[in-house]
Amino acid sequence: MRSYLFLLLSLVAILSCNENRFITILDIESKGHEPQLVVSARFILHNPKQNNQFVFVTRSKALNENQYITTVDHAEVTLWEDEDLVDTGIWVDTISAFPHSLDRISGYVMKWKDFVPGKNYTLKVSAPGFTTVESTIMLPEKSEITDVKYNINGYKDPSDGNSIDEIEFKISNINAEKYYLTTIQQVSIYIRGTNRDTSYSSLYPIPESPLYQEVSGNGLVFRGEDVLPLQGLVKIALPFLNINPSSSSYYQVTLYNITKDQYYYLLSYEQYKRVLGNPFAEPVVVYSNIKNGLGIFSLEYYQAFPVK
Amino acid sequence: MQKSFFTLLLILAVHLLHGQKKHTISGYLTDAETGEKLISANILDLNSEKGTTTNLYGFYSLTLPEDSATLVFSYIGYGTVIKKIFLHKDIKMNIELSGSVSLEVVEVNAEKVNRIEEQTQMSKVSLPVEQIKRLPALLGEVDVLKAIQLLPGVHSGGEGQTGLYVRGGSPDQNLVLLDGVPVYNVSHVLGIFSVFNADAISNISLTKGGFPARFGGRLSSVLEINMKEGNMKKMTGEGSLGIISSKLTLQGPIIKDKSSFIISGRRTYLDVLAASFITLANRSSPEKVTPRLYFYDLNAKVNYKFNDRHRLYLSAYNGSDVFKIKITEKASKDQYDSGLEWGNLISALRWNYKISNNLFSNVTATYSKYRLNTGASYEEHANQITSKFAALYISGIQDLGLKWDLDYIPAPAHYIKYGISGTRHKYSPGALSIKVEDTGFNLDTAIGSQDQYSTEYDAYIEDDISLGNFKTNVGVHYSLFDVNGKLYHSLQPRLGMRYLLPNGIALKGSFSTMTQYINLLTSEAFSLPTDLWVPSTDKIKPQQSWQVALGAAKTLLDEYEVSLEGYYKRMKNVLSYKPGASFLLGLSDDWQDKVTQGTGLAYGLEFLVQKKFGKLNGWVGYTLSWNTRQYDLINGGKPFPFRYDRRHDLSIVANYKITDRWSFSSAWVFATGNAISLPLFVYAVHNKTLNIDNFNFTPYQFIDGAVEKNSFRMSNSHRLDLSFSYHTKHKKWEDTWVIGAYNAYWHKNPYFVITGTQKLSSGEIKVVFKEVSILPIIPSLSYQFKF
Repeated sequence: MRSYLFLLLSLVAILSCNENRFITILDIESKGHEPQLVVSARFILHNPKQNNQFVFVTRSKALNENQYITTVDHAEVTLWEDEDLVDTGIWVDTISAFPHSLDRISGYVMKWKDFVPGKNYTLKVSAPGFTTVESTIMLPEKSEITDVKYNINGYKDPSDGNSIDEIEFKISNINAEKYYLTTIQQVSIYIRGTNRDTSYSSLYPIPESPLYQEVSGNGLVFRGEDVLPLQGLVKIALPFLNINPSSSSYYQVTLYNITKDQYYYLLSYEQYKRVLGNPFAEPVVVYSNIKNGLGIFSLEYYQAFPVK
Repeated sequence: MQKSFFTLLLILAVHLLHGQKKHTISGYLTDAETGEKLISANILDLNSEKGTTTNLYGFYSLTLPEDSATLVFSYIGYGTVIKKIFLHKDIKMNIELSGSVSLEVVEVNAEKVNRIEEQTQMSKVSLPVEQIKRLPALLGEVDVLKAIQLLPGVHSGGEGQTGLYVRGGSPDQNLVLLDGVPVYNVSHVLGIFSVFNADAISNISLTKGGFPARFGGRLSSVLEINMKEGNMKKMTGEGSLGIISSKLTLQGPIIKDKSSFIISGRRTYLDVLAASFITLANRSSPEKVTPRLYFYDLNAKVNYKFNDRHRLYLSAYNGSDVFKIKITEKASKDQYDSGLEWGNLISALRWNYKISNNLFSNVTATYSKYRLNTGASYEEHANQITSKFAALYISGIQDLGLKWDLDYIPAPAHYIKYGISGTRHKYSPGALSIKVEDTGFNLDTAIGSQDQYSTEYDAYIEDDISLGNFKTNVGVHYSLFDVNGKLYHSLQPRLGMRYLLPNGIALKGSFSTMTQYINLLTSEAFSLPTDLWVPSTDKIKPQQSWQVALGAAKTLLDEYEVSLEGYYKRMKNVLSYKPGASFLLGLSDDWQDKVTQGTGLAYGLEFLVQKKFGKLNGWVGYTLSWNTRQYDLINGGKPFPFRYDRRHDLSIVANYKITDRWSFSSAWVFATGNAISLPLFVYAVHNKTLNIDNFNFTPYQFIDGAVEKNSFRMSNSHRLDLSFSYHTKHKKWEDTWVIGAYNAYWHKNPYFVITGTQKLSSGEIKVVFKEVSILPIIPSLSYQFKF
């Protein structure tokens, strides 16, 4: 008995002295990723600069897949209002998605315009080799900006005590279940001879309430319940570096009535960006409302309000 | 609901007043050799089949009708004492049980009172300390928390970790009481060892649900650890010498049978061992490296018995971890010093007062402090000028409390407990102090949250009622929490029931609600000493839970306790860091802005077969469980598995006495892998969806992300720990050699996952994920002695 024990324990001691075995690495590649369809569909309604809606479809790839992300050009994209098919996307290659940008991208064009608040809209995308994906959202009632004011030195920065300008506006038809995205742009008009050109520069807004949260594109998102106690009053300060509006330029407040999904999507993307590479931070998963797939489908109203 | 409880209590009070002529037998049960109190020992009158158990201080009280009585006093591992008396007046009877009967050979008799099927309390497990000390241990260091992790319903955070995750809860939801004082940090060496030195402990029990009303303040469990009191009869000692640590415990009488003490110390010496290797390795290096890597514990307790009615105890614990390194440039004498230091200081002053034969009072004043210092300093010498830079991050919590608990035992059918307590908490939720001394520039500043204070008041009443085959424990706990003028209060009804079927199977059920006012801000991924204790505030609501449990229990063949329990627990206002938040980010920010509150759901089944004594003893525990969390701001508001959601958890523990000298111990554990978030894939979303201007270089933004939080499962883990003991008895002392192996068959259990690359035979480089296992087979050798 004792000799067996001695042999066993000697073996244990010898094996454990192998330094390379103290840290062992197990390859878990087998638990890989099945590519999924990724849908980017942000339908902005009542935007005079945009007549059609676009659905961009790409595919995800495993981290270890040495492929570029490419658009999926053989998908079937359909839009449903409640149970009725109302539109089918038309594939357009190298389209000029946005007239004033350098962007040239391939995607699916949707022409349906008769969106009705309170109705459910479903976007379905299928493509050979992929699981069909879909997303259903309800178009919320529209809220609009009213009573915009520009307050010179209206906001006292608590960090240094300096006063800076602010823009305040009121939102109508507000309730706790609504979600908003707002941006402030400086619109400059250039006249060269007979040509008139307009440029839009997004400003970095300073939220005056911690309830407004910064997101990409210099936007601020907030919930209806955040501004409900103030009857929809929103105040946003403008940084010093902004150029004062002159006769040829002015500020423009834009309000998007976004969906709850879009709200989470924008917030989660912002958080994701913020902690990239930080091993101590809580992990962030970018929100998606695409069933069996990834990305976002949103329907939102747009309203641009000049502040002159 | 509350009304019904009060009505029930009133009926019970009326019931108490109605009775015939009765007398009370009361006293203390102690160990004959040491004078140590015996907790939960049994007292049974064979004639009337009425019985009771001793309380935490070894006190018992049994009121019986005037008649002859045959009293049987028994305790696991001790010889039984039988006393025949004629009860015609109140009797004081202090009994000493002899511990000469060892765990292996004790006969089972008169254990009826405290059998699992007799207890109303469910979801409670206790482990004899002697059994824990025999379990195989990592690096030979016996650990009470790791033994607790082997019980059903309790998960460990990760391999080798001491964190307790009880029925879906997180470690801060466990109320860990050392001699009745809350312990805030229970681990040493980043969670590898617990702060409890098994040599200084007399009793351990864990309550996972069906909480009696006397407990409050945490959602998931109560772990009660009682220190030994010190040998009243003679001076004794025990200790051990191990690979990384040694310990020594001394105890003995100050005044025989009146006053005693115990003092126990433990220290690791990894730094001492490492220092010579480091010096050797750095002989030719321009730098001198001095590590300070150790922890120590010091437990001390004295008690004084004024008479049979009054007794005073003073106990203290001080433990600390030092995790530092100093690097000195040999030539320039420049110094870089950094690291962490954390620890607990705990103290309790207790006064036992036997007011009457059936009324026992205990007043306790408590003090508990946990502090963490982490910092770095740099000192540079150049051109006879010294520049200094120092940064220190400090956090902690401090409690000062007073409580009064009373046990009233008016009849065998009732055991009433009631009491009040008040605790003043002081929180230091993280502050950074920076000092700079340089030519022409001096800075001394502090950034971070201010200290916060709160006061917590509690009151409770409960009654353990026996009505034939039906027993119930009914009670109510009321708590009040005052923080910065904000007042929270909570009334928490508790109910436990047991019905004994004719075939000896006990059916049990319980319902309890709990409220927790203090919270630990911790990363879900790993627990660090830097985790912060913070109070509920006007912004952060108290955590709350309710739990129902149903089960059955029976003792088979007089030796095997078998229990099956199902539980369903809902939690609300549980805390988590917001996605992307970190204690290291934004120190100047208020911690309240870094956290979010949500809900939790945990349910499962637990099965336990336990044999506490005999030549072969041990247990088999299995848990099947589900555990999810849901936060508005995390995972898009969708529920996700908690990191420690373990579908299956199995432990098989066996101690076997081969001969009088040789004994063998083993533990095999299996657990489903942890749920983690991994960037398994890459995808891209169009700029437009993110409101990003179109003149970006790329129309898409790339995202490395998982579909849902904690959607990836690490591999299952399992391992076998073994130990053999060789015991020798000498004339005046005993010694034991323990040789063992942790993870004996060397299974590569995953500890964490990293992203790496791999070169294929084609020369192509691809990204892979790797599970890192850090605990291979670890042999251990220790020498234990006792005199």
